[in-house]
Amino acid sequence: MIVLSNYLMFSCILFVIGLTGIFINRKNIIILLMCIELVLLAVNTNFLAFSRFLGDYTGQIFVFFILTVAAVEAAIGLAILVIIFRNRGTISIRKMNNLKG
Amino acid sequence: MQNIAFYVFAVISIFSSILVVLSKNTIKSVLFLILSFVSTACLWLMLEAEFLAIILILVYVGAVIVLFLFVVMMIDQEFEIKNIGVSNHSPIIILTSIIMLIILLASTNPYQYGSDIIVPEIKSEESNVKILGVLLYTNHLFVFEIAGLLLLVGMIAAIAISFRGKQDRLNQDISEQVSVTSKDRLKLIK
Amino acid sequence: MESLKTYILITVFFPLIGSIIVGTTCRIISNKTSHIITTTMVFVSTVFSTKILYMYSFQDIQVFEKTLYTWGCINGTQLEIGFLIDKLTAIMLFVVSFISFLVHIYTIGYMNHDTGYNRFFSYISLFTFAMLMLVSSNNFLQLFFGWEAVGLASYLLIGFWFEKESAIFANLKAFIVNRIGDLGFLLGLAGIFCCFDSLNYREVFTRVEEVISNNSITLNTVIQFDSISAVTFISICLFIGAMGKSAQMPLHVWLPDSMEGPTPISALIHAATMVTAGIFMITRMSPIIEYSETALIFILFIGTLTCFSMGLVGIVQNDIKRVIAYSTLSQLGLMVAALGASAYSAAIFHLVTHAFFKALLFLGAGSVIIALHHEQDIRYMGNLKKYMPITYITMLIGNLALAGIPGFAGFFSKDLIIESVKISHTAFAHLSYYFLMISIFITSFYSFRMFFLVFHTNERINKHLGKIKESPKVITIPLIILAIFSSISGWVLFDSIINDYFSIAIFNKNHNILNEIIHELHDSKHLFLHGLISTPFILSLLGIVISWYLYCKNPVLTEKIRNKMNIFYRILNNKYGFDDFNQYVIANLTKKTGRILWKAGDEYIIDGGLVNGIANSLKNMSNFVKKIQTGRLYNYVYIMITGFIILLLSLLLNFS
Repeated sequence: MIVLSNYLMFSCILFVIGLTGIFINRKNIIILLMCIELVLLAVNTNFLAFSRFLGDYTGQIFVFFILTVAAVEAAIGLAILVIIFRNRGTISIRKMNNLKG
Repeated sequence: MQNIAFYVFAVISIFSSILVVLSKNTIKSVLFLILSFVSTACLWLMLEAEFLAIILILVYVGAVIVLFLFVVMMIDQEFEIKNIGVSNHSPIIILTSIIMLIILLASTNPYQYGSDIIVPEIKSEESNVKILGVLLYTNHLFVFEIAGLLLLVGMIAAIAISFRGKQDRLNQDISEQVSVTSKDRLKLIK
Repeated sequence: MESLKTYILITVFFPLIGSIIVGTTCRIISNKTSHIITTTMVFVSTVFSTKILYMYSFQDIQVFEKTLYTWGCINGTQLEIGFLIDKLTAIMLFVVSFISFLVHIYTIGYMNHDTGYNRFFSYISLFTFAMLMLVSSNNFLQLFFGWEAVGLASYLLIGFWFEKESAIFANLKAFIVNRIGDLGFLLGLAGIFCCFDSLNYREVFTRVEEVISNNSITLNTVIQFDSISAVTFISICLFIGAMGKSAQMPLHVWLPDSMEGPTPISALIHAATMVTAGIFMITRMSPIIEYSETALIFILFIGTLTCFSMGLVGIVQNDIKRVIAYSTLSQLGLMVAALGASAYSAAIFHLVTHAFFKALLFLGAGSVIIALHHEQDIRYMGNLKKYMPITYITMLIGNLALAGIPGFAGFFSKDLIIESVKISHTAFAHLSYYFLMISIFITSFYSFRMFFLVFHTNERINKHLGKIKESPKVITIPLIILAIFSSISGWVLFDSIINDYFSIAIFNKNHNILNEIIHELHDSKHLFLHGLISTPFILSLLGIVISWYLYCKNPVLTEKIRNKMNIFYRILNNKYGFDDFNQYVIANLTKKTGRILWKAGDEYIIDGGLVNGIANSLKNMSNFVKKIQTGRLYNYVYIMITGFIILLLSLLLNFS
């Protein structure tokens, strides 16, 4: 019997994996953006699980919009990434410390 | 049957997410992300959100991840960053994440969100698409239009950020030429 | 009373006007103008003070006490400018202005070739003003103003030749030692302010008796004082002020060094007037001091000690002015001893006569110095009797007065003091009587030693000085005037003094010494006849004879005696080590303490520890905190998530 908590736990695990990926990542910014997509995916799953188990379709509408926003954000993020690569020649996280105090 | 399907897809999704983070090769990371998305889409199908599952694969995987792939291919990565993938402070970070995971799992435990939830039966014969369509165009029309505008703005922003202009051609800007004064052109050198 | 107000205002303020006029224009006016202005002002002042004295002595006027201006008010206590004239003030006014006038005339001749001529006149007029303010004030604060102002004038005048380094050393020493005395004076003033809530003489003096009988005041310091101890404390503190100003032991060290200044000021300030301010002040405070037996014993002790020991030091001095300086110290000790024996009138009487003959001695010494072109060592003088007859005769009169030979002024006052001390009720008075007798012998010994060595013995004058002649009239006329006063003032004043002249001004509680003496001595003629057969006269005569023998007849014997008593000679020459003690112990200690406070306290603790320490600790802290800002995104996200987890945990724990 698959209950709500199964889906919720799955979504939580996916969320934490995405979050950990954000700060464990030392390779490059693309991994960072991909982990953000993972987080958004986990949240979407959460919404859909609740929508299904509470019988309210508003959850699915919300996921619709989250998908939209995520797509836009990924596009702009990648555009910025391209610019950073153009200006610095590298996208390694280690070299991105201009805000160092 | 449903259980097995659920667990299979869930496990695939989780594993490939982990491998997204830990892969040494960036292309492999992207591909694992695709795998993760696809198995999650199957999961969504199990949640009777067919429209969104297909949209996930078509739009998200098909367009956004492909965009990722394009960028990955375009960026010239140095050799050294392929080897040093993970941070030096992994243990403490993993500890923090495990704590967070425990907190989250504890709050979504089966005793709260388990069998007490009475699953309503699916009443309608209409497809998911139709239901969603009706809702979108009546109750949530305004937000729908805003989402469209948002997409437009995003597109303009992406172009505006990365547009370099024509680099190889020597163009003349007429307005600049007309508004020139002698100070810009003449310089007296004694 | 209006005329009296005018008189006192003119008397006190005219010298100030003269001083200011000459002082501000001292570079542009000529010598003649400056001395005419200041001398005229002081002359007017003298005339009016004589008139006041006449009014008070012969016309029997009421005591004049008036506050002219209240310049401040603290918590109900008025701070005022006012004048109190009674018989004591009248005599002091006369003495101060008269001697100042004579010194002004003398200076015209003495400082003739000096470049600072105008400045000098301005300073001595300023001094005259300050001293007159001191003696005529009616409250403690104005007294203190005058007190400080005479200290200032003394400082300015001792260091008059400021290019000389020894003069600067001397004037600093005088000012600093004076200041130490002033500390005691201020403590006494504060005590009076605390106990009586008023600084006016009349208010304080009238309340002392009832305050003591009621035991109604307590002075709450670290130690709890009841009424009688408070009065003792105040009296002793006031006397410490007098010790500083009147050069009692151990605050006497400034007076010999003050001889660095020109001779006229040695005459005016350090013989006749400023150093007697302490005596005057104690007499004025007699209503308070009389109630404290302890203070009287202390005063008597210090006075006797000074009189005796300073006399001994005077024997070995070779500078003509230093001999006279030590004799001043000794006579001041005698006056203070009289105060301690509650014989205030005798002390004032001796103050007046001493002013005359000491000024005479100093001015005569100045005349000798000028004639010998600033030679001051008596070992290089001799046989000046031949060259300077007027100076010789006047100095002889002065020395006879100092030694207390009957007939001259000094005899009357000294004898009065000796008799008073003999029958005084203060404890130890009898013991001090013997010491004072010995010091009479010593006084006549050293004063005639100086006299014989300067005027009589063989000529030891430097041959290059050329012909020596008598000083000009402008110098000798004050000498003659003072000689006349030294001779007759004793006869004139004794009768009045012994008949309780100062009855209202001076307060004698139970033991009015003079009433007891008057039964024995009756009047001046009796004193004279009685004196011819009394012990002090014999002692002074002995002193003269021995010094004549040792220095005129048999100088070789002096050498032998000196070699035998080498230790005593060295101790006396070193002035009992006071100067060395002050220099090496106190001054060095102060310097070392200042250095330690500077290095360790200021530089190390305050600059290094507090000021720099705070800045450095801020820097270190910020260096530490700076490490949080790595500039790396994942660090920031990590911190955010960690904070979020902590928040969640706290929420969960609160709920469960």
